[in-house]
Amino acid sequence: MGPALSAQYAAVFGRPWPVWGAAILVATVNVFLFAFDRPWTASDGLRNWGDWVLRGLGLVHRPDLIAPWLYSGSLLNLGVLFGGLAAALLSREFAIRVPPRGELAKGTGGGLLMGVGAMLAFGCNVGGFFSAMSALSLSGFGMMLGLGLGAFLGLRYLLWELEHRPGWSTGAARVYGAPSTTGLSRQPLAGLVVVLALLVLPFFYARQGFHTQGVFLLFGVVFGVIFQRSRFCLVRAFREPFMTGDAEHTRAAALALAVSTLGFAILKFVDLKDKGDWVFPGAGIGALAGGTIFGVGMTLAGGCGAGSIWRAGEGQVKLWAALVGFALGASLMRLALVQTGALTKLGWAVFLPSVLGWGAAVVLTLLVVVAWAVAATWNEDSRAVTVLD
Amino acid sequence: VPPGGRLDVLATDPGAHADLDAFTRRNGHTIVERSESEGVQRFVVQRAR
Repeated sequence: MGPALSAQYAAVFGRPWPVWGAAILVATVNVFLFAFDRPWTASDGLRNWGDWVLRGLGLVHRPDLIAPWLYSGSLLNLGVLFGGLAAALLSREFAIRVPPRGELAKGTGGGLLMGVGAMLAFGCNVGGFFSAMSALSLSGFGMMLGLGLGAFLGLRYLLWELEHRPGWSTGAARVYGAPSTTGLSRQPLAGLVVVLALLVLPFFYARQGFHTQGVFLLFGVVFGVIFQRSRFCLVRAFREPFMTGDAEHTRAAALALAVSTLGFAILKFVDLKDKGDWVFPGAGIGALAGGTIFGVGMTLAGGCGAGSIWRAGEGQVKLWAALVGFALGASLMRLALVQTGALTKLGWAVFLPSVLGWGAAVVLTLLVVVAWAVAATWNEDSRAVTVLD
Repeated sequence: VPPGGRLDVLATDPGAHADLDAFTRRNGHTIVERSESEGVQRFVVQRAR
């Protein structure tokens, strides 16, 4: 490779991308995805996987269940998984990382809590919070509060465990297939093969008559690559102000929310998308309790709806456990909510412009995200809510 | 760890460097050594005095 190409390769795959730039990219791609069909959420695709497991075990009768390779949410998730894998390989960061048993248990338990929380809040932190808030749904604001409280509670638990039960998560971690630190690695070549396969697959889908399905997969790949290269993380956005005080990811998340909100508002205002799209009947106990449970889960697992998937793609076995827990937790919780009739009692569907008018709804949303970023930045100096020094 | 003392940190997450960097920068600690072998990163962090 020539020096100029080599330098560009290093810029894209040798160094982490700026987090704020990744945030703008994620928000922009999410607006494109909404314009194309629907915004991003990880939970419905994971529930689709869990539903297939329950169906396979004979626990549910679902002849209408869409195959994971055809369902939009599942394809987005598969794209994120393989996009994360491709980016990790191209960056020589892929390895099968097996954590100690206690960490695996936290991954599974955290995943279960995320699955349960996502069903109560009508989406994970991406769909129920990020995309819902962008869609000017009051439920997104409720889940934001819950996620903050949950991240705090989850962190308090982790610190308690560290202090009082240090043996639970100790033990040797094992790493397989890591690239050699000296000499050439085959990982970039393998990454190139994965990228080529991912680029060919949409053409294969199109030949079978499933044009949109292939595009969903590509959207997922783009998300996976952006997240893996930048490590932009909504868990860090909520947890870090309480843990180390660092607010870089909080500011980035707020920036992403502002961009995404403006994009979604334009699409809805000019009637390109329905006003009720992504406005969930969870404004109330569903968003608050669901957000809190999800916030605890994502802190224990070390990855949210999106982060668990792309981290699983780069070989982190703890997040494989989180995905299994998430999928099963979501399927079982949804089943329980439907069978008990609780699904219709989780809150109200409130589209903010219907209550406040368009201008006030957009300004209020932007004020909330700016206040979040400013409060977290102020906390960097004051350390008002930070527990680690 | 007493002020000025050092802590060995082993990590397998590729994001560990960015995480520790943010933590030490924010809290006045210093990463005085960093190495990687077989997918395991090792950091020596010196606590602020």
